[in-house]
Amino acid sequence: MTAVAAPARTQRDDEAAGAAAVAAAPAAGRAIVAFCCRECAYAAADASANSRTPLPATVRLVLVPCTGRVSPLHLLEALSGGADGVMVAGCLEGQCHYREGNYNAIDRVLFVQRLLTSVGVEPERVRMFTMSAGEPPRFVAAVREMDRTVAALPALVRS
Amino acid sequence: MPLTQRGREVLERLPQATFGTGSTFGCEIVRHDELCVGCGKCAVVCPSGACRRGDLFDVSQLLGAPCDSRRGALGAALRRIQRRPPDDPIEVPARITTYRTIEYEATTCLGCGACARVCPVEAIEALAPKAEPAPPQPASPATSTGVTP
Repeated sequence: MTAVAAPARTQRDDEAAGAAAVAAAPAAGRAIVAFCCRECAYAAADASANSRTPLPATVRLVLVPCTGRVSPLHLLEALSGGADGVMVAGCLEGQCHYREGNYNAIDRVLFVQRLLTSVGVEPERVRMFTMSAGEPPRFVAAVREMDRTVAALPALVRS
Repeated sequence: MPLTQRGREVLERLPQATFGTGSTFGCEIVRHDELCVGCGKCAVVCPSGACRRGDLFDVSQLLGAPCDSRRGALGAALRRIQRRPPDDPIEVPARITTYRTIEYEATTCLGCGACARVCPVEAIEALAPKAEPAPPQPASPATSTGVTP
């Protein structure tokens, strides 16, 4: 049996992870991509899977080591690749495990919101949430809120 | 990078040096803003701080960036979902350092031409210094006593 070498993963693949997550999932009407930080939000999402309040079927989770890794390109690639909304979920302010990663993410989300506004797309499609690892209900509430917001918006047309 | 005290002293000793009110001994810098992609290389190399990243960002710069760059990839993604052409420049949050439109201040420019050398899209031209008429000098005895035929 011959071993098949996996293709090397590049930075560009990483940035397209949001779009890939949408493409890999079965069509469910609309899709929301959630970039979750490993330390807080992903732990909260993990715990919510075991609780009585399951996540809405529209959400796709993408694990990142810290929300500071999320660049404007991650957010826009996800939107242009089929997501209707993108949320970034990180640690509470002042509690980032890498000190300032979530502050960087907050500014990048704000920047993308302004970019979207200037080309006529609703800025509500991109949002930042913060939570601690011990708050699964807060993560579920954030996803539901995002789902409600996106459902109320007109469909995003891609050329 | 601001000019050091030592650099300032050297400049003041140069003939016709008018640092602070436009350079008369350096190259003439011509910027073609419509070609600029906002990469910021000129701001990095500028010795006097005449080129710097501003507080605003022109979104049309992103949409027109070359496709093989990271900025071009961001522009391509934005172009797919855009509904109308971008309007006024947007204000950039403090922690975003890359996506800023370059501001150029002619009065502090030394005319060294470093920006023209690093510009990847040739949006900056460094022309040879213009031969300006010398400022009126107080009459010296050498010129007043010319030999008459």
